[in-house]
Amino acid sequence: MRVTVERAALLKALGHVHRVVERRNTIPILSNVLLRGEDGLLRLKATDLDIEVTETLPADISEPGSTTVPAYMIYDIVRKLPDGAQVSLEMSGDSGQMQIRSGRSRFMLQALPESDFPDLAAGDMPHRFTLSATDLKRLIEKTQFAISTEETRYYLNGIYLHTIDVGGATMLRAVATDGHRLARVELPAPAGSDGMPGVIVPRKAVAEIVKLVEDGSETVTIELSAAKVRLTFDGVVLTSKLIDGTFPDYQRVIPVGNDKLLTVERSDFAKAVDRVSTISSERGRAVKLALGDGRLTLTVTNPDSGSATEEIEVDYDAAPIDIGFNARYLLDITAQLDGDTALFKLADPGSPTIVQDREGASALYVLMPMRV
Amino acid sequence: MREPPRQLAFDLPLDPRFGREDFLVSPSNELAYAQIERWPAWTDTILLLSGPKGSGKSHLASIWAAAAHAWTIDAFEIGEAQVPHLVSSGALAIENADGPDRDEAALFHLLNLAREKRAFLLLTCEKPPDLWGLRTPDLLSRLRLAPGVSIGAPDDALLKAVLVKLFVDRQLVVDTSVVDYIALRIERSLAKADELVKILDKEALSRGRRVSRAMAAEILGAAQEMDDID
Repeated sequence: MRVTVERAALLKALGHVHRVVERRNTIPILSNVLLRGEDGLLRLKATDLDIEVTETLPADISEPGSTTVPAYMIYDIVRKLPDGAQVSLEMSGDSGQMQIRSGRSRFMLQALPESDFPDLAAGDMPHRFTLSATDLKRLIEKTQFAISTEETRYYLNGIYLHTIDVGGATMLRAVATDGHRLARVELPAPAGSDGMPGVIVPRKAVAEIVKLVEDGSETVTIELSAAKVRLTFDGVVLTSKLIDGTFPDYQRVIPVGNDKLLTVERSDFAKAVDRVSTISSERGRAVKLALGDGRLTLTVTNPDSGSATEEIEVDYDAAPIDIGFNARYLLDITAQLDGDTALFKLADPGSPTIVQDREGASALYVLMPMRV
Repeated sequence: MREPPRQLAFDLPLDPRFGREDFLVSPSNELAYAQIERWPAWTDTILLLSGPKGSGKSHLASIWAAAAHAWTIDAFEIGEAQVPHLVSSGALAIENADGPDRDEAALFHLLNLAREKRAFLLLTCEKPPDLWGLRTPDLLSRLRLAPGVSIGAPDDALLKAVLVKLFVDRQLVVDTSVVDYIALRIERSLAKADELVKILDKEALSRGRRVSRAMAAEILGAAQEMDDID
């Protein structure tokens, strides 16, 4: 293989693919990125056996061929090369090494043959639809924070993507929960998504998708089977296994009869929560909300350090209620809202509370209280 | 001392799995399982399936109901008026036959009509009919004559297997050492096992932690204290 490619293009492509490679690997080839040059294109591929990312870029191929080299190392090398440089990649004879040349720099990297490189056989993907990058980003960004990080609860370690009939219209919904809070975002289902299976996209794939979607692709094609998902961006293809589990019937934890309505100025509320929570301990970050007529009192008590209180004016005229929440969760959720105000729908101190921009907003958050 | 604040967790619903492949056969329930499997070659059109709470009666009844295309009804729901309709399907599973608030006249009528129409009946109960407190002597004698099969207290292997199944049903990854630890320390009852796994699931979700041996020890200790107080 002998390939010459522009440094910036190669760096961008390596930037996309190298991230899925785990830093530590017991199988050496999983540390490598696959490079294959043919028909005027250089194709890069990396995998951790759960996710696979490939990217194709134009290159000058003087001798077609393929090899694999350590992903982080080649990424770091190319990153440190001067801007605007041409990079040549060349397998030198039978030495099992790949040479990287650019200007006066020369590197020899230990290579492993392509034949050992695993393929995440995608199989048939019967469902296919297209989303604008903005919509996909919204679905993910508004829900990602609620994904569970507790590994043994694997069925919550991702975003549940599914279609659902809402008042006669089919919606595409993304839902994530860690058992303490739940995020639900929906948009009108794009053509082709109707009838897709409900799938759980794993956290690591979600994080990669966010980075890829930020890199300027206009639209994203999503293909699905019951076991895998494939997203195609401009020149980049991400394939991921899905979580083999059943997402719980989340609709049953979204309350419908919460009649105590509280409207707050979002930014004032978040700042007040942030201020009083300074006093809270790392482990129990509980803040108590005492609601009375037009008034909200936030209180944090920490036996080790003291207490804090702040009062803000709010729109509230239901029966007085005291309810505790994890301050971190309140800040996470208010950070997701888009409007100037936040609408809380409460029932009692032991039941889930709904948080939204306004009644009927496309993003809905549910938060379980803390007993304080 | 003031209790530290405690994060509450969603009550995330769970559908129990009552499929044939989910039933765990062991010496304590193999006779009952064999009877269910033998249908329709039963010695009679009626079978009384008895066993302690959580021993797998409903699971066996559900396996049978699927095979026999039977409806399932709780004994207290049976009223005189529905009897002909209930029998019309040709097979009926009656759960909690020894539960409270049942209409004895309706049940008696149902047994008679089922016999007349050659409809199959499977009744689940915790105790033998003599201990149901029946006030209708004819009903009692009918039930005494009905063939029965009982499920015993679970053996070690079954208790462990059921614990594993309960965790798997809840999609929880739990180390085998945790299962061994629990199996050695809980009452030999599948109902207790179910209860404990439910509490552990909830506790782990609330704490945002995995189900560990330490957590099991803590919950078992707390349960022990509660029992002592009772």
